[in-house]
Amino acid sequence: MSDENVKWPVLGFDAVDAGLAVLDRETRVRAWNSCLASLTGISAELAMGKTLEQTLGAEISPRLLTSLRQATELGASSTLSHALHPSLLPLPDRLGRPVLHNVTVTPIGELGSYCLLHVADITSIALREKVLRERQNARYDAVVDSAPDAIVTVDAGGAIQWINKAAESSFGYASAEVVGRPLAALLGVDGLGQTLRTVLQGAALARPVEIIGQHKDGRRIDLEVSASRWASHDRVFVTAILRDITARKLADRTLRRLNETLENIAAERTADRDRMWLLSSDLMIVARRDGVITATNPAANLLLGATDDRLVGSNIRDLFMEDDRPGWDAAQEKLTSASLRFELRVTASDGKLRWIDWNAVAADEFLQAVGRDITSEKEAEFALRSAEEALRQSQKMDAIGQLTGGIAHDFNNLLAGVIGAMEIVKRRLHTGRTEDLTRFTDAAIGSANRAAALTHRLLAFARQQPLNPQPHDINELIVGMDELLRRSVGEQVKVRTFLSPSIGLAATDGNQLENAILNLVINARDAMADGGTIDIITTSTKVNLRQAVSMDGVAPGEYVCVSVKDTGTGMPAEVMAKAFDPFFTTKPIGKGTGLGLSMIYGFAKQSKGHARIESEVGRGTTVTLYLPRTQAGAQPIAGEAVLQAPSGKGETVLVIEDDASVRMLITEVLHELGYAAIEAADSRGALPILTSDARLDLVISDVGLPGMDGKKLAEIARQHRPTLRILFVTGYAEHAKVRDEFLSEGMDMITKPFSLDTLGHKVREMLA
Amino acid sequence: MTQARVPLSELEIDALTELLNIGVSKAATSLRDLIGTHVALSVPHLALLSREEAAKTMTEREANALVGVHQSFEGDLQGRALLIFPEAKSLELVRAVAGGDLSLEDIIALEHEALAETGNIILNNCLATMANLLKRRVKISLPKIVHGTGETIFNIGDTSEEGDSALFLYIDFLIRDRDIRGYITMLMDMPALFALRELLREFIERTSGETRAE
Repeated sequence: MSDENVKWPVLGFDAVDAGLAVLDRETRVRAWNSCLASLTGISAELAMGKTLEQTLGAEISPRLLTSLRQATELGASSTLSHALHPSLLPLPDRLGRPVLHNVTVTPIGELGSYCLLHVADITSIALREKVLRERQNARYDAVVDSAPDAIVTVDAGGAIQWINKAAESSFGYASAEVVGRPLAALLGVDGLGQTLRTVLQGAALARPVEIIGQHKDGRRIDLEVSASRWASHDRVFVTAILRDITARKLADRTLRRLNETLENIAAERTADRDRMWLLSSDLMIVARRDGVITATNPAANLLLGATDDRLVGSNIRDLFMEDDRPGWDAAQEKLTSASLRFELRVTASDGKLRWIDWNAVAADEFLQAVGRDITSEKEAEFALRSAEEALRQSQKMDAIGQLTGGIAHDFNNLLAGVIGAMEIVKRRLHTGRTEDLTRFTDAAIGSANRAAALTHRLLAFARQQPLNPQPHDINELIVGMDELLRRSVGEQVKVRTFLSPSIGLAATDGNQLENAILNLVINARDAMADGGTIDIITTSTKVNLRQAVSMDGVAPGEYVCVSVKDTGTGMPAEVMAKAFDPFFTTKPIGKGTGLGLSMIYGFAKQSKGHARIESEVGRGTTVTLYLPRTQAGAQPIAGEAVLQAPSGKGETVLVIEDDASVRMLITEVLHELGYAAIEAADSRGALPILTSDARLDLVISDVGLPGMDGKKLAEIARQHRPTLRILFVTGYAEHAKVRDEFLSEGMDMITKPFSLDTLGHKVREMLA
Repeated sequence: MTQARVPLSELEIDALTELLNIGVSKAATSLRDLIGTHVALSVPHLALLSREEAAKTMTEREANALVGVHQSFEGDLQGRALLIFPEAKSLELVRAVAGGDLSLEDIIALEHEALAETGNIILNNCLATMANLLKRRVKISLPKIVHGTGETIFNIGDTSEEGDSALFLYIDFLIRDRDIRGYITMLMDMPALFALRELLREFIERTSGETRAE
C-alpha cells in the first residue's frame, strides 16, 4: 500500500486518544472515531447517520444540546466539564466505576454546518488526583479536626476557604456561614491582616502573634496565631492556627490587676497607718524586745514631755511609775503576737501620775504598745465608787435605823408589859395583897416570852436560829392557834380555815411555824383596813424536778403547803418582787421591822422548804409556805407538854455562868428540883472544882465565858473526869449551828432564853 | 489615546448594553439549568475605554490577583472577550456553581474546569446573542483560564497592536446568596470597533423601523 492511498486524516482521527465525533446541525453523526466507539461501546457503523440521541439511546442534556446548537448555528465553542456535569454522556462503567469525562464542542467546516464533539476520558487522572488528595486529606483531617485549636485557611485575598471544627466552636460560626468571607472583618480580628500579608509574602512568623478576635456573640477572644503559607495549583493559601488564650490572658490580667490593687492597698494602708501614727491621741511606742524604744508617736512625746529623740533609745520600762515596773516586767514576759491588755501608770511631763490602758503585742523582734490615757476615767470611777460606798453606808444606816427602831418599839411594848406587871406584883407584895398575883406574873412571863420570840425571829432572819425540825401535824397546829389568830385580827376580819385531812406530817420547827403563820395573818389583817376574810388553807403537793428549779432549788419531793390568803389591797408587781427582801416594808418607820416576810422566807428555806407569794392589786395576796413532808410513823410533837419537871435525887451539878442573875436562877431551879448545885463565875472558879475529886454528876456551863471559854474548860474537865456529863448553855447561835462538831458523847446544849421547865427536863434527861 | 475614542453615540451604547443584557440573561437561564438554582446576572453599566484606561480602572478596582476566562472570536465581529474575577472570588464562584459540600482541595481541583465552563456559558451567550441579533456570524474559540493583575490581564493572549479599545462591563452575579461582582471586557481593535458601530447602527435602524412598522 502506497502512501498516496493511505487516508492519513482518517487514521489520525481514529488514533487520537480521545473520543471524537463530527455532528451536523441536526446532531447526526458524520464521523465517530474508534476511541469514542470504545468509550460508548457503540461502533461507528451503528452511529453513522443517526442523531446523537438515537445513537446513544438516551436523552441528551439541554446543556450539551445548547452547546451543539451554538456551535453549528452561531459558531461558538463550548466546554462542558465533569466538574459541573457528573454524567454528561451515558458512557458505560468500566469495572463498575463511572467514566469521568470532559466534553468540548467546536464548530468546524463551513460556518453553520458542523461541529466537533470531543470527549476526554479523565477518569484515571481524576482518580489519581482524588486518591492523592484523599490520602493527604485523611492525614490532614485527622490532625486538624481533632485539634483543640481553631485552624483556618484563607486565600490570598484573606477570604476564609476552610475552617475546622474547633474554629466553628471557638467563634460560634458554622463553616458554611464564613467560607468565602473575609477573615479579618468577620472575626473582628485586628492585626491579623498584617500578619497574613507578611505570611503571604513568604516570610515565616518568628513567633506566634497575639491578636484579639471576636466571637459571633460579640465576646472578645484572645488569640495566639501561628500561620504558614502553602500553595496549590498556583494558588497561595495561608493556614492559621488560632489558639484561644482568653483564659490565660484573663488570668494574666487578673493577676496583674491584683498585683496593682495589692500595691495600691499596701500604699494606702501605709499612708493610713502613717496618718494614724501622727494623728492618734493614743500613745504609740515601738520598742525592741529588750524594751529599748525605737519610735514614739507625737501623742506619746506630748504626754511624756519629750522629743522623739529623747525617748528613742531609752527603755520603755523607765517610763512606768516605779511601783508599776514589776507589772510591766510581768506583762513583757507574757507578750506574744496576740494583744495583751494591762493598766500601768506613767509619770507625765507635768509630774503627775497618769493611768494608761496599754495594749501591746510582740512580733518580729519588736514590741508595739498603744496606750490610752484613762486617768480621768479612773478618777471618775474612783469618785463613783466613793459615792456608791457612801450611798451604801447611808442605806445601811437607814436599814439599821429602821431595824433598831422597829425592834426598840416592839421591845418597849414588851418591856412595858413586863415592867408594869412586875411593879404591880411588887406593890401588892409590899401591901401584903398576894391574891390574884398569878395574873400579873403570867402577863409578865407572856410579854417576856414574846420578847424571846422576837429575838428568835431576828436570829432566824440571820439564819442563825437553830431550828429544831420535828414532825408536826400542821392541821393540829393551826387548830391550836385558832383562838390566838381570831383575837389578833379583830372583829372586822373573818378567819376561815380549810384544812385538807390527809396532808401528812411536815418536818418543821413548830414554834417558828406558829410565828410565821401569826405574822402572815397579821400582815393580811393590815392589808385589809376595811375588813375582809383571811383563809388559812393546808394542802399537800408533789414538786417535780422542773418545778423545783423554779422554787430556788428545793429538793423535788412531797411538800405540805400552808397558804394564808387575804382579800386585801394586794400589791403591785414591783412591790411583790421585793416583798421577801429584808427591811423592805410598806409600813411607816416604827410600825414594823420590815423583816416579817423576809424572816418567813428565811424560815421556810432553813426548813428546806420554800415560800411563794402571789398577789394582785385589789384582789388580795396569798402567801404559801412549802414544808417538806416527812415519813409517816414519826411521832408528831403534840402541843406544849405541860409536864411537871422531874425532880432530882440529890445529884451534884456545877453551874458555870458569868451572868450572876442567870447563874442565880439556874442554881435556884436546881435546888428546887432537888439537886445539889455548886456555882462558879468563870474558869478560874470552875477549874479547881473540876480538877478536884469532889462529886460532880453534871456540869452546866455557859459557852461564852470570860477568859477560857466553855468548850476549852470542858476539854480540861474531861481529862480529869472522862465520863463527866456536860450541858452547854449558849446565847450564840453560832455554837448551836455547829453543835454536832461541838458536842461529843455525854454532852448536850440548851439555848438561851429557856424556860426553867425545859432546863429541868434537859438535866433529868442527861442524868438518866 | 485619541484613536481609542471611537465615537459610539449614546444610543449606540444603549443598544449595545441592551444586547449584552439579553445575552447575560440568557446566560443566567443556562446557568440556572446547569446548577439547578436561581441565578441572577445583570449588567448595570457599560463603558467604552481604551485598553490602558480599562487596565487602570481594573487596577483601581481590584488590587489583588485576578483570574479570567478568555475566549476569542472572529468573523464579522472580531476580538477577545474576558470574564474577570478577583482571584479571591473565583473559589467562591466555583463553590457557588458546583454546590455541595466539597472540600477546599476538591474545589481547588475543580476550579479550573468549573470556572472555564461558567465563563464559557456567559461569554458564549453574550457573544452569540450579540452576533445573532446583529445578524452576523462569529466563530468563538474554546475558553482559556488566564491569571494576572489589572495591569497585565488584558495583554494575555494579545496578538493585536496596542490601541485596542475595551468594552468594559460590570457584571453582578447573585448565586446561592453570594454576591459576586465580575467584569466582562471585550477587547477589539479599531477596525473591529468600527465594524461593530456599523452593525449597531443597522440594528438600531432595523429595530426602530420594526417599531415604526408596528
